[in-house]
Amino acid sequence: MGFTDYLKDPTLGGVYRKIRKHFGIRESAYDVTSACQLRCDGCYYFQGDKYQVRDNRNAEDWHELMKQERERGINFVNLAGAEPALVPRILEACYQEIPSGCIFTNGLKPIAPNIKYRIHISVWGDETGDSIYRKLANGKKGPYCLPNQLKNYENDDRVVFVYTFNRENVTQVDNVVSAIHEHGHKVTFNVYSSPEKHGSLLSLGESIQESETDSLERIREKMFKMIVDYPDSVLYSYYNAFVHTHPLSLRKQFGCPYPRADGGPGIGTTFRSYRANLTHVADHNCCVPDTDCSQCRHYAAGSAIVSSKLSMHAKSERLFRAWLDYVDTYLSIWVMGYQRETNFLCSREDVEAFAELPCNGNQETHVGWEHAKP
Amino acid sequence: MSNAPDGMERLQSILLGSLDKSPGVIKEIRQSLTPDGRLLDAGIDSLDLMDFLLRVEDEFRVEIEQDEYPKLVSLRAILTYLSAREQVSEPAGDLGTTTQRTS
Repeated sequence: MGFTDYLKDPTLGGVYRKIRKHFGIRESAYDVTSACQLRCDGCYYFQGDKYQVRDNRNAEDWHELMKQERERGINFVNLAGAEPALVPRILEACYQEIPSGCIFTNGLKPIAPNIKYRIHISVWGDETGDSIYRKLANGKKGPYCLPNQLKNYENDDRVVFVYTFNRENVTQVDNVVSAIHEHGHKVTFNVYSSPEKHGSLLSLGESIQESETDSLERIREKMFKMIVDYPDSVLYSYYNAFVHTHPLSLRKQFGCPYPRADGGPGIGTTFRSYRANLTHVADHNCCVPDTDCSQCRHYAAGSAIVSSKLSMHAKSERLFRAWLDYVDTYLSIWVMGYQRETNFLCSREDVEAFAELPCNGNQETHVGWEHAKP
Repeated sequence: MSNAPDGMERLQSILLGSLDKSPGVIKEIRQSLTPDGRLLDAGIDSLDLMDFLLRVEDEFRVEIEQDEYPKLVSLRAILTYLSAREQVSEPAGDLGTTTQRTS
């Protein structure tokens, strides 16, 4: 059985044709401001030196940049920063030029409803965790953000909550997902990935109590439970859970197509990560520029890394089903209006069978456990 | 003389048949295709290229090694690879010609 045989299956062929309409997404990332009300543990923005720039707050300059980006073929923008909601005129400028994209926000300040980008709202834990990891700019304890986030974005179909697992907050997800579900919102998962130079109390690295592998297994089990308990609210597949909690980082499993890493024919030549002063540095061109690649399990990275590896997943029908689930899920998280499939094509049992496969063990390049015979 | 399409025509046919794009876009791609031109420069994105190569694998009953993918940037490069694997004869002409290599 080969790739074209899989496509003859009406279900697989149908999902493939659906997701294929989005193969032409060309994205880049833009830090639209270095300002934020908070200084949270685990925030990727205040790692490295990218925040040490002078912001360009001239909306006309952003218009011009977006025009140039559009001419470069970019049709999807990721607006991040510190806190994009603090610069509404820049968001408006970007939206007028490139109307598809995603904004990453802490959700404390509403974003104008006419900006029809996806909005990803970060959640770090429940009332016990979120208020510990969140800190005010003066270093004092921060707010528990979820109640305000839910209030600010009530009945807003742009929103996807992003719950970032770390080794301390695994059990806190129950309360968070329950609240998000009750408000009719969607949630997806991220796995905390350590920055390059500075450790964080959120890192999954070895601790006295637990190994990294054990932490990851605990997170995976909790993800599986959330998928079963909240099928309509949780945007995550079993295969998402598998690859993002694998003992090997995404790069070690699959390689990485971003320019900062291995590069590749698609995103490897087009993706840029602009700073708030409208410059970009080739060495930093990836979705989370200061993340340690050997620890990267970031949800945004996976969306590009796993999705780009179609050929690796064409080695068996089961892998192809897993890939379809992953891409279908990824599109529902990132693309406004995209409706994912009701049922998964790759079950928990299928995924657990992957876990039993031997790993080739080459830690330096993508090991491709999926190359093993299914 | 065989009426079967030569390798280059066959590849072009698989490629254009695999594209999920509007007829106008496919026409533009067809017009910009050359044997040695980079497929990515002809309006084909990287996942379309991957889709195409997977179909080539099936059509020519050959498994392309993962390491080879980055080298297969043009129709000529793919045909050369397939020829080396003795899956197809390689024509000398341009796309759309019916020239057969004789031996």
